[in-house]
Amino acid sequence: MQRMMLMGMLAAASATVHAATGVALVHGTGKQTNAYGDYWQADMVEGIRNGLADRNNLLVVNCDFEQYMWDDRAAGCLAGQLTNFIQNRNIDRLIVITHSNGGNVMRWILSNPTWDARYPEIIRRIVKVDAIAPSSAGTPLADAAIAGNVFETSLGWLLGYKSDAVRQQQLGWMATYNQQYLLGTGGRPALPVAFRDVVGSDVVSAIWSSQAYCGGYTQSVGLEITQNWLSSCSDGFIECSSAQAAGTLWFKDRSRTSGGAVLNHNQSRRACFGLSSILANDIRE
Amino acid sequence: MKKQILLASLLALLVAGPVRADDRAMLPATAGDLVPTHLLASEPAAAGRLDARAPRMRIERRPVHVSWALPAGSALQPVPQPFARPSREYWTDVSATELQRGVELPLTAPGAVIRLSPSDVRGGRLQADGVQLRIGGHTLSGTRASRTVAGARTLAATGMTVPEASLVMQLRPELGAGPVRLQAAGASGRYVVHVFEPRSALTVTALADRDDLLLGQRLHVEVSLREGDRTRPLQAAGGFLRSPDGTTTVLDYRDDGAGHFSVDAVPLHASGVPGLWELHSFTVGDDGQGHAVRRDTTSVFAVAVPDARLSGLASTRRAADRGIDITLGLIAASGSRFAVSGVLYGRGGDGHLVAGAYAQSAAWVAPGDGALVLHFDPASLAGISAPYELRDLRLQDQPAVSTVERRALALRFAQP
Repeated sequence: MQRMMLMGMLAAASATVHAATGVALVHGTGKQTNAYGDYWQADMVEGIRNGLADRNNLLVVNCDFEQYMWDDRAAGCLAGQLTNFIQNRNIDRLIVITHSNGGNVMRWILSNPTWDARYPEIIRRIVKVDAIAPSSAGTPLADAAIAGNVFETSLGWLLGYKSDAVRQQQLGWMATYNQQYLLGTGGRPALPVAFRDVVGSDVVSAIWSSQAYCGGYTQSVGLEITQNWLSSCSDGFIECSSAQAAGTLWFKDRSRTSGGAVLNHNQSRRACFGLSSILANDIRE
Repeated sequence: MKKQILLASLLALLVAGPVRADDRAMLPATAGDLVPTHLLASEPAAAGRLDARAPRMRIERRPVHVSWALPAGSALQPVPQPFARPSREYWTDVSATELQRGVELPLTAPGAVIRLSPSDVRGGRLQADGVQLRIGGHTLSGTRASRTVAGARTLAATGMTVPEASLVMQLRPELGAGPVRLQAAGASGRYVVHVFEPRSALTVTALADRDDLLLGQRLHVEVSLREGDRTRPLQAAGGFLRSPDGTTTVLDYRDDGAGHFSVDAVPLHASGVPGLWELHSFTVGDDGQGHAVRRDTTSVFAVAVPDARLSGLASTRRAADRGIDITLGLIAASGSRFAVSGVLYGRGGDGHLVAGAYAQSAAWVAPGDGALVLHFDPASLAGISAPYELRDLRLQDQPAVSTVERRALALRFAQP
C-alpha cells in the first residue's frame, strides 16, 4: 500500500515538473506581421516573459484581424498558431492574453469548439484567458465610423474601405453575435475556461501629466471628439460595460496599477504602470 | 473555475442513423422559438472566394463534440433579445454643387459634432478654414465656429477609423442650436455629412420584435422619437434592408398614428456571403418648437436559410462513459456541417431545477434524414441529477454562420 502511495506521489511530482506553461499574446484589430514590435512592443512582451519558467514558451500571434472573428484568416489563423505552439513546445498549461478585438476572436474559438477539430485541443490546455480591454459588447466608435457606409451601395461610391472587424464591433452586431454565436455574456452559457477582464476606466491626456505619455501621447484633440460617443467610464475606445460584458472582471486599472494610474486603450497593450508585471505575476500563480 | 472539457475521439460515431419513430417526441415549439416550416436547399459554401475582401471559411469535415459543466446559479436567457439603442445622429450625402451653395443641417442641441467625408479623397479634402457655417444669424469659418477640429489621422490615433480625408468639427456650445447652413466653396465630388448631437434629449429608437429569423419570415420594427420620458411625433420615416452581401431593398414605413412609424421587412433572397443583416431607418420629426429633428438608426439581426430542421424525434440513453447521449433527428435539404448545442437542466443539490451542463456537437450531414448526438460527459453532469430538461437547443449551419432552428425547451426526461 505504502509502495503504491509513493509511486503515486512520484507520478504527481513528475507531472508537475514536466507541466509546461506557455503564454500566447493575441493582438487586436489589424493585420499583424510583427505584433511583437508593432502592437505590443518589446518592454511589454519581455515583461510578461519574466513570468515564465521557460522563457521560450511565449508566442506572439500574428494574424489578420481585419476580418470577421469567424473568418479563417482570424480564428483559423489563431487556431493554427496556437496549435503549432502547443505541439512544438509541448505546452499543457496555456495562458492566453488578448487585447481589444483579440478577445472576440479568442471567444469565438471558446464558444464554438466544434467549428474546427483543432479548437477542443487548444481549449483543453487553456487555464485562463486574460482579456485586456476586450470589445465584448462592441464600441460606439465603430458605429460612428462605419454607419455612413450604407451609402456605399445605395449611392455607388465608396467612403473608403472599412474592415469587417470594425463592422463586427458595432454595438448592434456584437449584441447579435453575443446572443447567437458567442458564450460568456449575461444570460448565455458560461465559457469552458475562465475569461478574465482587465478594464481601463479613463484617459489622462493632460499635456503636463506624465501618465499621458506612457505608450505614446494620445492627442487630447482626438479624445475630445471621440469621448462624445463614450460613457464616463471608458478607456477612450471601449466602454467599461463592454470590457466586462463577457466572462468575469479580473480588475479595473486603478485597483492594481502603479500609483492607481488609469490605462487608456493604447496603454493597456504596453508596459505602462506595472501592467506587464501584473500579468507576469499572474502567470506564476 | 477551470471547467472540464473533453474531446471525444474524433472517430466517435456522432452522426447516428435516423431516429426511430418510436423514440420520444420533442416538446411542441413555443412562442419565440425559431422553427423552419419548410426547407430550402442552400448553395454549397465555398471554401475560398476569388474576391480578396470576401470572408474565407474553413469547413471542418471531422465530427467533434464537447461538453462542460456550467457554474452553479447560471441564470440563462434562452430567447435572444433584440438590441436597440437611442440614436442622436444622422447622415446625409451631398454633392459638391450643393455644398458650394450651402446645405441646411437641423441641430437640436448645442455642441454638435459634424463630420465631412469626401468621395474624392484628394480633390475633396476640406480644411476647417475652407468651410463656413451660418448659425443664429452669424456666419463663421469652421475654425471659429468649432471648439475642436480633428482630421482622420488624429481620430485614428484614438481608434476611431473614420474615412480618409475626413474633417470633424465640434461646434462651440455657446453658438446654441437650431438650423445650421454648411457651405464649402472648394468642395469637389460628393460628401457624406455625419451629424452627431451628444447633448440632445431627442432620440429615435428602432425596436425590432426579434433578433433572428429564417429567410421568408417577417421582421417588425417600430420607430419612435422621444424627448426624455416623453414621446414626440415623427413626421416621416423611410429606410432600407441591407443584406450581408450589400444588396439593398427599399422599405415602406407605415404611420401608425400619433407619429409612430413601423415597417415590416421580409428577407427573400439568401445573401451571397455570411454576416448579419441591417435595417436602416431614416426619420424626420420636430422638437415642438418648429425645429426639425433628423435621426438615423440601424437594427441588426441574423437571417438563416432554412436548409435543415430538427425532425422532432429524439432519443436519450446512458452513454458508455456513464454520461448522457441525446440523439436528435435531423432533416437536411442540403449537405453541410451542422451543429447542435443545448443546455441540460437537472435537479441541483437543493432539489430545484438548475442549468447544469452545456454540450455542442457537429458533423457533416448529407441531404436527407440524419441525426446528431449531443453527448454530456459524466464530469459535466456532476452538479445535476434526474429529472432532466434540454433547453436552449440550437441547430446551426456552421459554414453559413447561421442558426436554423432554436427552441427554448426541447425535451423532458426522467432517466436517460
